Amino acid sequence: MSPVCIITALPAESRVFIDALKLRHVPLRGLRLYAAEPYLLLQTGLGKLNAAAATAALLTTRPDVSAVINAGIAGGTASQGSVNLAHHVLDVATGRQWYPHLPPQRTVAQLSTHSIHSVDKPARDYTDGVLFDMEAAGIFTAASNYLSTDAIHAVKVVSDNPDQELEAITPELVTQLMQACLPVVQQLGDWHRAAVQQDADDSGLEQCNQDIVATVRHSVSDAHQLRRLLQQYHTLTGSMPDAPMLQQLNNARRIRETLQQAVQAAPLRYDS
Amino acid sequence: MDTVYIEREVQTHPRTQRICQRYPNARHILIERHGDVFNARAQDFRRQKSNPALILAHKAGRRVHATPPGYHIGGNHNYYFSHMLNCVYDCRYCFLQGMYQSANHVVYVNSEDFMQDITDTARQHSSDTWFFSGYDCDSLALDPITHFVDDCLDHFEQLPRAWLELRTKSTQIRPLLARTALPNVVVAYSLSPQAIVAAEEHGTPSLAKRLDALQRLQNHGWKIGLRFDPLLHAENFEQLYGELFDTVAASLDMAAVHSVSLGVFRLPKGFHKKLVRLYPKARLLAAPIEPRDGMMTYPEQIENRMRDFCQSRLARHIRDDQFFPCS
Repeated sequence: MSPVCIITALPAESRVFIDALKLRHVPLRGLRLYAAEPYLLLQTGLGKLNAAAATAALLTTRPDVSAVINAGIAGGTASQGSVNLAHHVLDVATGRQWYPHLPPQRTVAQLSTHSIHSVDKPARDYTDGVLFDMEAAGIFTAASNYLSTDAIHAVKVVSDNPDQELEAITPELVTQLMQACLPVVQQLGDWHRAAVQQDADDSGLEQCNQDIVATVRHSVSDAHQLRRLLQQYHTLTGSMPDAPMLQQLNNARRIRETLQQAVQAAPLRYDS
Repeated sequence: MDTVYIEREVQTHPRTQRICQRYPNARHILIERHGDVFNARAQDFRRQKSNPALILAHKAGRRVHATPPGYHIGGNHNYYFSHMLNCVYDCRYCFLQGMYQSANHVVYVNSEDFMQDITDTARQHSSDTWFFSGYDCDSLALDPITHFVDDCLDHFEQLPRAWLELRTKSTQIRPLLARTALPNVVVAYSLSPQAIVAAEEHGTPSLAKRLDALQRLQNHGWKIGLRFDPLLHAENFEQLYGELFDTVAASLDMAAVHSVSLGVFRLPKGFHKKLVRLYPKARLLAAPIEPRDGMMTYPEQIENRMRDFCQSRLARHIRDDQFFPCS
């Protein structure tokens, strides 16, 4: 199953997920990574640069990750402890911005949405409709090279506002506030998994593809064409071709021609 | 739709406010430019299609464009305009899936500017000018939200030398039935055999409902057009389309039909590639098609057979001057 990766910056932000989802530490290239089906949790450290570097390293190593959800604290004018989904992420330093595609409201229980401005230093110029954080833009920068922006989200709980100052934030308070993020992150995770499962069940096709490529030499282009022809054959006939027979042809071009003929001969009917 | 993006420039436009009032519980998100949302890279069209957002925007720049060569129904001067981008329906063959990064719906609320551009364009020609709506969207499907039809017809009523084609699969015809038919407007329906509607035109009204809408429009005095485009190939192609043409002919006054056009399934190569990536298991896209003149289409022999069959079968029901094949 393709995991959904929760990305936090601080240990105090991670704790609630590690405990509730029974995540275990996984050694991977110096990353602080935790896992338990169907979640990964990546703890990046503070700031955009750390967040971007760790996110890129993870997604390079784990291309099976289907979505990432940045969860953490943020400052704003909303009440402390309120949870918000990002409808807009802005890297204040560069002006680069993202609009993550929002899930249906029923999926996240009418959660309010905000614009998240990722800053390089803690900010106090609180503005209505805006939350300040220090990682979201780094995560979006890196993750959008691997995933569609429909599969990248940021969920932020308000930790400081004009009444509750930044200096009053303690690790204990952060862990306590993050409890409210847990159900939202799980709802988003469920939504992504449901979408990914619609496309699942290509195992027979993959096996046939691997069997042929393992025994008959295929260039990258040959392999790409083979995969598409197998997909076409499977779609039109509902079955997989005879892999041993194709392997006996012992030549990528002959295999392709045989499959092309089979696809052309496959009946396509539209019946009421 | 539970998310509405609103360009700051049109925030106070009356149409924006009217549309927003229809969605009081939606998230209303203010944006600077609709392109920031709609044209952003790395979007998942397929996922968005199941949960599209609405983007209310101002259309700047050119609003009326010359049609591609061969896109006409007898007129010498042909233009298209798009007051919306994207379609509420989910037809597997639709080129919009290959053309846009996003499945969100853009509605340009400044229809007064579109109408002014249409007037200006029509005045450039001394003979009749055609304007096609429904190239980048369905003309009627979102009309209860946009009220585009009334805006448009009020305008074309004042432009007798300008002709309008409203292309649609929708049965949202209430605004058309609520007014006197205009002589310079053609309501054109895309039609397919019901088995293809069910398999490939997801979320669209059934063939029977489209025919019912056509009947009611025709009875009300509107000129109607029939668009058999795209024709899809199948083992039982002749049975499917033969029955379709006979059913249509039995339902409508064919002598009064303004125009009939047909075109075989074709997609620009790049769009086809993107569609295959989006829907690798689509039967329509798995069937053998080949590149020809920059387009992906059926092998020439199959295309010719399809065209010949359809033209000869349609000839039983229509006159030559009603027929316009698409190239």
